[in-house]
Parts: sequence; C-alpha cells; structure tokens
Amino acid sequence: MAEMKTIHVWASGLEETGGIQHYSACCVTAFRALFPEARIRVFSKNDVLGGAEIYAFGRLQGWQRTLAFVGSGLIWAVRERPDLIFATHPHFMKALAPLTRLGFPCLTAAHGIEVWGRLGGSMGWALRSATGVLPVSAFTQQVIHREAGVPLARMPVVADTFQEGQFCPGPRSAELMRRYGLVAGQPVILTVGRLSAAERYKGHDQVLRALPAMLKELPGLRYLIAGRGDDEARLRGLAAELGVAEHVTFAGFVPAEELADHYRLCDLYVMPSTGEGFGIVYLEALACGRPCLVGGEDASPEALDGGRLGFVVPARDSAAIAETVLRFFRQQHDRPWLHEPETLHREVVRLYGFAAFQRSLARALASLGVASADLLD
Amino acid sequence: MCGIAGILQATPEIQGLESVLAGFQRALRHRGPDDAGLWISPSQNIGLAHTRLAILDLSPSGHQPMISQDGRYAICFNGEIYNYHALRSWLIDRGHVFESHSDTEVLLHLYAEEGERMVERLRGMFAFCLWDEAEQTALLARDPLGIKPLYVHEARGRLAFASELRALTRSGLFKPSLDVQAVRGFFETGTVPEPLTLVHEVRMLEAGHTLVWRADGAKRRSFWRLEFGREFAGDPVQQTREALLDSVRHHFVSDVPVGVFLSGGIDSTALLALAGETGHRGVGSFSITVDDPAADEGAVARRTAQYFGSDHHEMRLDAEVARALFREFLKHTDQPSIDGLNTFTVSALARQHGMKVVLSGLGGDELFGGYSSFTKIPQMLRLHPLMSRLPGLPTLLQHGRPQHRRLADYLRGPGDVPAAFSALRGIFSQQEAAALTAWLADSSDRTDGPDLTDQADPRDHVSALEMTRYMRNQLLRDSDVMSMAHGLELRVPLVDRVLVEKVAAIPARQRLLPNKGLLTAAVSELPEWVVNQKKRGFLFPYQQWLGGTWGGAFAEACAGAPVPTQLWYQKWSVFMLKHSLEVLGLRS
Repeated sequence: MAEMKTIHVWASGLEETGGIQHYSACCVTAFRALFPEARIRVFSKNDVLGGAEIYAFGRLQGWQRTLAFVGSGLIWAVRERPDLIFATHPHFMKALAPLTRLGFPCLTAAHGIEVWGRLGGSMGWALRSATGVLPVSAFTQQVIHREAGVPLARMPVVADTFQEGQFCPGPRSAELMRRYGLVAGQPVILTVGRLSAAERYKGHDQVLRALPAMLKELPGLRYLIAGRGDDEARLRGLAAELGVAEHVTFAGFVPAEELADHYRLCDLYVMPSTGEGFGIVYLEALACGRPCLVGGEDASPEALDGGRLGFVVPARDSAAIAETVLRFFRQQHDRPWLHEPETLHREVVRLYGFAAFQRSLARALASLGVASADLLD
Repeated sequence: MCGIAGILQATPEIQGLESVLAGFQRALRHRGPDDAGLWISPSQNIGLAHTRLAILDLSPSGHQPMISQDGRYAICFNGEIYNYHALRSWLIDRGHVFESHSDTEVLLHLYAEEGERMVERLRGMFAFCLWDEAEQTALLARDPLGIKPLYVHEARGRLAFASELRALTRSGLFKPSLDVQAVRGFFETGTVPEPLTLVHEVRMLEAGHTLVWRADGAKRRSFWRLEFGREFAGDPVQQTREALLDSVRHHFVSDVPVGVFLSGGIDSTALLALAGETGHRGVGSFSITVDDPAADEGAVARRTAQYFGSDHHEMRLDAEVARALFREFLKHTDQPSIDGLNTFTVSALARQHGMKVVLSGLGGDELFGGYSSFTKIPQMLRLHPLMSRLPGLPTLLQHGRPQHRRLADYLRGPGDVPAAFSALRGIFSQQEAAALTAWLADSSDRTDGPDLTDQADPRDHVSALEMTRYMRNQLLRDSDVMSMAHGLELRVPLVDRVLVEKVAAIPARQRLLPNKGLLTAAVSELPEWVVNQKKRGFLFPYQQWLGGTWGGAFAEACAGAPVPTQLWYQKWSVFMLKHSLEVLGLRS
C-alpha cells in the first residue's frame, strides 16, 4: 500500500463547540497521529482564524464563502494530488465528486439528519460517487444504503466521539441543587436538547405522559428539562394538563461549562428520541456516570453499545418508559454496573473516547484500501 | 435457552407424573439455573417441565411452562426466536394482546394464528413442545439447521421428550438398550448420526421437522430443506454482506450482554467486525491459548481483539489444566463425540466473566467452503474410476495407515460423494468399525446415513454433507451440551436459516472460493493477518497430550481392542464410547 504523504481535510469548522466541529477536529488530530510524516491541509468553511496549513473562509459571506472554500480546495487538490481527501460533512462531497472520477480517493463522513430523507437527488449521487462513506452509526449506514444504494462494503461505520476532558463523574453541584430546589437523595431524571416545535423528536412528550405512573411509586421524582426553544410553552401546558407541573423543571439554556454538572444532577438520563443520527448527549451523560433510557427507532441504542449501558424502550410507548424508569430505581434489572458511575465512565471512554475513534478511523481506512491495517501496531 | 422435557400419553397411566417431571428438572437443572417450572394438564395425561436461563424478558412473566391467557395452550420452549419483535408486532396488529415481552409468548399466539405452519415463520434456534388442550394435540418442532436438540421416546401411544438423552434414560420410563447401528455409526464418523442415538428406544427429532402427536398416533413432517442455487444475477459479495449484517443484528437480540468466542480465524473475526458495524462495540471476546505453537491461535486473537477494541479475555491451557477440565467435561457429556472439550473450556471462561450469551463463528467453513474436503472430494471423485481398477490397490492400502484403510473402503465402494466424505471425515474404516462394534456391543449391524439428494455440483453435495453430518451431529450437538453445562447460551449467526438461504442461492462456483473468498470479500474489515494465515482449526494438541500425561486412561480403554488405535481421535472415540455406555446405563 502506498505511503500516505498528503491529506486534505474539508471541514465545516473546527473552532466552534458543536458535534460536527468536534468530529472534524478529532479527524484532524487522528490523521496527524496515524500519519505523522504526512502533510495535512485543512480547508475550513466557517472558521475565522485559520493557522499553519489551515485555510479558513469564515470572514467571507454567503456564496462568496462557499465559492472560495470549494475553489481553494479544488485548486490545491489538482495542484498537489493528495493521497486522501476527507470531507467531514457530506455536502462537500457534491463538489468533490468530479475528483473521484479523476482517480482521487475521496471519503466523506455522514452524521444523521443532514442526510436522512435527502438522498434522492444530488446528495445521493454524491455519496454514490465517493470512494467511501464513513457513517457515524449503523443506523445511518442502513439509511444511506437503502435510500442512496451505496454498497455496505464501502461504508465502514466510524462511531461518533465526545469531548472526554469535559465529562466525568462527580458530586452533585450544591449550587444547581439550590437553583432547582432539589434535596439530597431526591430522584431526578433529565433530558437535554433543543425544544423545537418543528422537530419534536426528542421524546419530551412521552416522558411527560409517563410521569403520572412514575409518581405513583416515586412521589418525589423530578423531571429536569434542559434546553430552550419555541416548543417550551406547549410542553409547560402539557405538564399542567397532566397535573405534573410541580414535578417538572424547565432549566432553559445550559451553557457548556455547566453541562456536566447538569448530567450529574440526575440519576437517569431519559431521552426516548426518534431522530438521533448517533446521540452524543448519551455519551456525555454516560461519561458523567449516568445511564440512559433511549428509544429503539433511531441510532440511539448504538451509543449505549446496543443497550448494554442503559435501557432501550419503544420510543412512543409511555407505559414502557414509566415501567423501565421504575425498574431502574427499584434496581430490578440484571446490570449492576448501571449504578456504578466509574464503570459507565470507563466503558464509554473505552468505546467512544478519542483512542477508540482513532482506531475505528484507521480500521475504516484499511477496509476501504486507503491505508494499511498495520497502522495500529 | 433452557432445558425442556415432558410426557404425552393417551390416558394418565404413569403413576406419580409430577415426580417424573421433577426428575427431568433435576437432570436438566444445569441448562437453566434461573428458574424452573412444571405443568400438568387437567386430565393428568400431559406433563411439561422446564428449567430456565433468562435471556429475554428477565422478569417472572417469562416463566415456563407458559400457559395462554385462555388456558388453551401450554408450551415449554428451548432456544431463541430472533425475529420475535416483528412477529409480535404482526400479531398485535391482528388483535392479539400480550402479557410479557418474551419470545415464548409469541410462540403461543403464533400457534393460535397459524397452527403447525407457524414454524416456517420462525427465525432462530428452537426445540419446543406446544400442547393444545382443546384439540388434544401436541406440536413438537426443531429448528431447520438442528442447532437445538430434541430427544424423543415413543412407546405404546406414549411419548416422552427431553433436551438431553440422559434425562430420558434416567427417567425410569423404559429400560434403555444399546443401539448397535448408532455404535457403528459413531466409530465410522466420530459422532452418533442423527436421528439415531446410543439408546435404541430414543430418537432425535430430525432438524427442520415437526412432530404432531395425538392419542391415536404421531406424524412427522419436514418443513425446510437445504437448496443450492445454480444461477445468480446479483452481486454475490453485496448479497452476502447484507445477509451477514442482517444475521448478526438479529443475533444480538438480548436483555443481557453478548460476547464472542474469538479463535483468531476468519469466521469469529468476521463476527467481531460485523458486531462493531451493527453498533455493538464493547463486546467481550474469549480465547483459549495452548502450549503448542503449531496449534496456538492466542497471539492472532489478541492482535485482532486489540484491532477491533474488544474486551478480551484468554485462558492458557496446558496438558495438566486441560486434564482437570476433562474430568468435569466427562460429567457433562451426553452422547459421545470426538470433540467438545474446546467449547466446554471457552464456555467456562466466558461464564467466569459474567457472560450469559456468546456468539460463535461455527458454520462458516460449511457455508463458504473452508474445509479441505471441498477440494479433496472432487479430486477423489475424479481419481476413483482409475484407482478402483488398479488390481490389488485396495488390499495394499488396507495394510497402510488409518487414512489409507478408509481410502480402501472408498475404492471398493461406488465412488460417490457420501462415500468420499466418509473416507475423508471418518475415524475408523468400515471393517474396523464393525469389529469394534462387535467387541463392545456384541453385534455388527449396518447403518445407513441420512438420505441426501444428489446435488448437480459435487461441492454443493460436500457442503450439504458438512452441514447435515459433521456440523449437525458433532459441532452443534457438542456446542449445545458443552455451553449449557455452564449455563451459557451459544448463538451461531453463521447457522441462520435466512443467511443460509441467501448465501446458498449463490452458485458453488461463486460461493465456494479458496480460503472462503466470498466471506472475506464480504467482510472487508478482516485484517490481512487473519485472512492470509494458515488454517489451524479450533483444536487442542490432543496427539501430544494423549501421548503424554493423559495417556493412561485412554490406553486402558483401548486395551484388547480388535483393531489398531494409533491416532488420538481413535483412542478418544473408544474411551468416550465406553464412558457414555456407563453414564447411560448401557454397560452390560
């Protein structure tokens, strides 16, 4: 297998804190570790600062930004003939497709909702023309295979990762306990996510509907909803209608520096979502030592290693959600490690930490014939 | 996964039915340590017993024997139904109301909906008995590929069944006598050929068969057969990959963690790779390492585990450690076999680490042509017309090594695939097997193997024989008994009805490629060091062990044998048969 001398990375951005930005930064770090001799150029559409061999286009606006980003990437590609071009967002593959016809190895990541239901037109064509697609979950892999016809063998899964340094087990924050009026030992369940009237897939409704059954056995239970959005008023109305308003706390927007403390407030992270392409929030909750309850209709079970690190329930079944939450608090299950924060932290770092991500990326490159399997020795 | 047993009788003849059922439970306790139950019909003529290893729906609502809400149906079931979620949803749409989340309840409702034909919709491994009180009918069934066993004793309108042969022979329902055909079959092949058992009064319900029992008689029916494709228009690699991923995904249905037996070979590595691809990345992997560099796969397995990031555990086995395990192994042996200790050992390791369910790569060699039989048997067929005409050659070979004596049998015979298979896979030649049978059983009857339709391509025929003889009679039977000895459920994603149907549709010329080329192309994640290694098999260095510290007991067992027993598996087979005769109460 030829030596990897030059790699070009097309990224939406590295500087911000979002999931795809973090994924892009991890890719660049992993490439540097796996190919220490290679020259790595990064073309970043939305970053402002740039740096050594990082070309940032965030100072430009609208179509000018897109044109400069794509044009620059293509010119450098033709000039330098890199051994690998890696797009961290599948939209970029539309511009890269002509290069694959000229024999340039082009790979793209695929995350989730940005491709689901949009694979009929140019996106499907672009993914089919890629040398390889790296979906973040088997669920997304299946969707692309089904809707765009990309062969499974050209889509090795590279699971998403999370910011290891920011999330770890610890005591409950006294300041947050006071803020939300919680007392020691009070059972708490938590959902973190945008409250969007247009989307409504995170499962808040089902959890609220499950609350009355849970409260019969756990009268002190509190449901903490972190996140803001235009659906909050409706959810408050639903809580009142169900007669559980005093057991529900809307925490509003939670800044990044307070996020880990919020996860540590709860006993169980509950989000029976139906639209996760992977579910980094689950990894963050697990890293803080909190098990998760997820729905079985999307990629969520994968973040729980197929359910081993929590519970998978029918996402739209409030009775099943209530029963499962109660089973957790009663400790009526076969998985004692769900009550051991350090074990959950260790497992999620082992499976989805940066080292696992790098190993998984190397394996994907080997299976696509882009790099050798000896990379990890 | 569990132990099942029961009695069906036209009239309540057996006194103390409950204590007979309790005896079954005791005999099968090791298969299901989590729960046990028994059920007797209102008219006292039907009794079902069950011991449970809880894997799906761990709550008490998964208790068995399970009775339908209206009290009409009762079932005891051993196995797993991997498509039970889909079946459950379909049944709910048709108005069925469920009380539990177990696959057993799905079987009850599916029978109410579809009757005997229900078995055709099941994907999984199963052996069960379902009693219909209204129709006074029982349905017994066994999965298409024979993963789960079901032993049946029929006499005078009475039928008794169990998951293990010993449970029936110890029941006191009949006096067991030795089946000489089975003994001879064992000496020829190293395993008792289905449907025979060592006990004349007991037969195995054949794989892919149902048995419908009524007071006036029983009727058997085949509901599945293996068929190979001759033409295929699609992309074989893509079809195979999709079928493999689909099977692995289904085999992860579990309420407890699932692990993988990792031998270091292609099949188990493929499972580990595909597990990761389906979102199961933290699986435990389990390997045995041995003190013989030629047989040891430990280093390869370790490197592979590290590559895929599995939680790897291994056990180092030398002659002494293995000997201690062998004593335990003997206690659990049901029918004799020349294999099984490896599964027993690695199952012990997995159970020590808290596993209840593990996946095994068993079946890959049979489906994708991994054995040398796929190349040697076509060669033997080509050479038979010439070699069988060379005067004196069979007589000359008869005086050669054990393999040569079996080749002599082949040259004297019709020169077909089953004969070549017997010569290649056999333990003793036909004459030797007859002599050993006469020595131990005081008789020398001839046995006929199970009937197999001739396939157009001889390699397909080899594949069919590998699956229905070596895999079914030996690998699957040993895997069931030796994993259940530790209360461990062993799942075999490469022995899946849907996978086999999809892969067998691909013609032999594209399916049975050197070094399992179709499988390695379909699982492109397989690292080069696994694909290109020399095939070793999952075998311990028995020739070395039996030649050393283990030798005494085996030499003693073979003392006075009427034929030579030079090779380890010949000594092993004589020793194991004598042991089984004692355990089953067949020693005269």
